[in-house]
Amino acid sequence: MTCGDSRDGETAAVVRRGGTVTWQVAGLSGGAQTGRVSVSAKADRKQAAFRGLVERVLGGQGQASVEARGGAFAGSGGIGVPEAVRGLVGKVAATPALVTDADFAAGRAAGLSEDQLFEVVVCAAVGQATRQYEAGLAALDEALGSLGEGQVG
Amino acid sequence: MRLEILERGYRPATKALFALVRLVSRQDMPDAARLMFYRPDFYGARAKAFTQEAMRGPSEWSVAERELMAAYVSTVNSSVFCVGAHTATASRAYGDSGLVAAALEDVETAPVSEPLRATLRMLGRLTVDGTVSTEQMRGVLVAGATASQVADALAVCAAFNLTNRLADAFDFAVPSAQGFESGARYLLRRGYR
Repeated sequence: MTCGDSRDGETAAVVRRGGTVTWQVAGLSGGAQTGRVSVSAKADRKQAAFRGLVERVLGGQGQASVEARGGAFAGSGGIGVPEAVRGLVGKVAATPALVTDADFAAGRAAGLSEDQLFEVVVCAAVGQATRQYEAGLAALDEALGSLGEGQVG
Repeated sequence: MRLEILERGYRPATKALFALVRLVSRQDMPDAARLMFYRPDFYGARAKAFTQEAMRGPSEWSVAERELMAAYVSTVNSSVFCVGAHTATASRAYGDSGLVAAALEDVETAPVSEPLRATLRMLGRLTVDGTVSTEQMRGVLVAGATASQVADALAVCAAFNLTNRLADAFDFAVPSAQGFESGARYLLRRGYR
């Protein structure tokens, strides 16, 4: 099943196929931003609630561009992230304890508003959490496959 | 917090709520809660819904076990605010601060069940490395955790790998021990809604 979910002129396409949900935010320069969360047969409200959060921060209305939010979600090397906040985005994803006032000051000096900085930081954090969540769910699927689901849980 | 909007950018009704909380509890509302009130349509509403599901939704794990997972992930991330908040909440939920302290100190020797020990070990690895091997995950299942327990633990891990990052990036104020206790009572009474 494929459905398009249009919000404020931006599009988050959500594809559900074979137990995997893939989302794709259109409009990014140089390619679309995609992600996936596997949904087991015991697909639950937790994964659905997480997908709702991801889809909102990436594809819904915001003060930072969809490109900036998608790039922040993807990590420091993500497309669309203004140069001045690439360091901040990288730290949020990898070493959040090392974020300093200067990281935010660099963004302000480059003309980003407080709301844009807020959104970029949120997207960077959601992106890293998403990658970890996906990695864990993928390992669970593989482990279940190797053991035979009937033997566990 | 590092952004002025997160300190003072709230609507009048929200500011009134913060003042009421301060009056009744004699504690400032924790920054983790305040964050949820800033433009809730962008982040807070859905973040609360996910965290509530992960921490209080149906699960084979108890609330105490999930709060311990939250404290454990936060400890691995060295996220000071979240370590304090969820150590206090897990300790109150278990009614045993010694067990929680032991698990956070050394999960290998802590007096917890084998499925929980294996799950905490896996969550720590996932948090540090960003990934976990099939073999490591198989070990959790062999230790007795069910598939749905593992999936639920991964949701807790995601919630706190997210919240820890925001706590550190936005520089949440760290409450007093009394403040953490007040927050723990609230989280056990009302959850994350």
